[in-house]
Amino acid sequence: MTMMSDLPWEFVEEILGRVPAISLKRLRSSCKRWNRLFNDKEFARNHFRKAPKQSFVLTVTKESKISLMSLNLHGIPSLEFKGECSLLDYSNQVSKVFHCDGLLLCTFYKDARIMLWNRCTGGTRWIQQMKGSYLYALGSYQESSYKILSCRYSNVHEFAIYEVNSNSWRILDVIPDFNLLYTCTYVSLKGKTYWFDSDSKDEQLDMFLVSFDYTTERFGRLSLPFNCPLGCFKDATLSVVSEEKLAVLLRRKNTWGKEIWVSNKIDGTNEVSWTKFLTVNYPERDNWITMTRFFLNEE
Amino acid sequence: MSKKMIVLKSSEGVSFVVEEAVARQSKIISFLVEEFPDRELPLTNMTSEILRKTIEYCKKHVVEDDGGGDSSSSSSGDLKEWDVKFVAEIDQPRLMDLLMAANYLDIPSLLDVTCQKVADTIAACNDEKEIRATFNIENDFTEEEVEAIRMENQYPI
Repeated sequence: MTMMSDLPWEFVEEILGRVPAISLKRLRSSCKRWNRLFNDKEFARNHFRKAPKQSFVLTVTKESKISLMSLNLHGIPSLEFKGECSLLDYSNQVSKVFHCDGLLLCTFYKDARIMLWNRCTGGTRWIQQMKGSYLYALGSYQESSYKILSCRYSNVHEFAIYEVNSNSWRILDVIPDFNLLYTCTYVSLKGKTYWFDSDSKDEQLDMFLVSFDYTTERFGRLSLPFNCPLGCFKDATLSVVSEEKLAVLLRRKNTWGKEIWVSNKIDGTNEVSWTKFLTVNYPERDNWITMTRFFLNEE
Repeated sequence: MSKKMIVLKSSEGVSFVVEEAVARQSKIISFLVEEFPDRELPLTNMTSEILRKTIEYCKKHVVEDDGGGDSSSSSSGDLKEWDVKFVAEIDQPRLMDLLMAANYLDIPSLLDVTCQKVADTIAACNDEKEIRATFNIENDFTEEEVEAIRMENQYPI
């Protein structure tokens, strides 16, 4: 009879590479051989490629708790409520959550700290906030290191960087040429954070996407699928597709059609181009400010 | 034209008469059939039970060449469903045997479904104790080492 220990190692790697990330933590303490895999970069890369991707929808509930729903894309797509993420011995209300590579960056009401939370291992780290900051985004550099980008406003926008490895904040010596819109969505993809913005000198110029590169620590601009100043948009939200493309949902003022555009694969070097994915005609009262979020999956 | 049959012999010496098209899903058997066309093929490291299961799988997955006969004509969706049921009915130790058989006989699709089933079983375990019990894995950690891993897991990155 074949035992797990009799299996050739290549099969053990193959099998463990197929176990979803959220279950991997349990494997670590099963035995020494399995535990060693967790420090193996090759295994991590294979796992990222092969293991089934799990899609979760994160929302902050009325009670300011983080609620988790799993999204099932097989057959008829369905949402299943998975419960609230709660931290033992901590009950402060969550204000905002930013997501990047399975890490959650949470800000709270009534707490001068922000928290980095690994959903797979359950590990947390509390970080002292930069006073007066209101933007927190998280991004990767050098494969698996992370930085937090924050911003505060006093006469001018001032950006700061927190490095997870060194556990410290420092001010970023950059004067931005954009406005930093308060209400917009931020997403991280392949070492950059993106958001909608307009030119700080001339608001009549076309709206664009700002990118912040966590490696070079510089800002860049990306054109949108069509040119229009900020004031002409009713809706503008941003999403990431399969961890390799950006998607934007745009609606011009006085129209019902929400257009979803998908970019080419973003690899940091190429020009970004957009392809229209679909138009949703959804009648809505025009004086409402809509905070649409969307999820797009390509097979 | 009658179908060509070949004979496979298990480790216990039990003979299984199988249509050649069915057996040829194994790349190894395919090779052996060409080398030794009229011989019984001894599979000395496969028990009758596992060989029977493997043949059952191959019969279901045989691709028809002329649309005739009573072998499989299932759609890929049906076939997937059948695979899931097929591995679900096999207990853990025998599943490992079947995985090894798929490897030995070189049947990639059977290797794929058996690996996936083992991965699903691991994912369904609640903790490391259940994993060890299910797969008969020896705990070679000291308590201090388990604690060290637990502490390490507390760090986000």
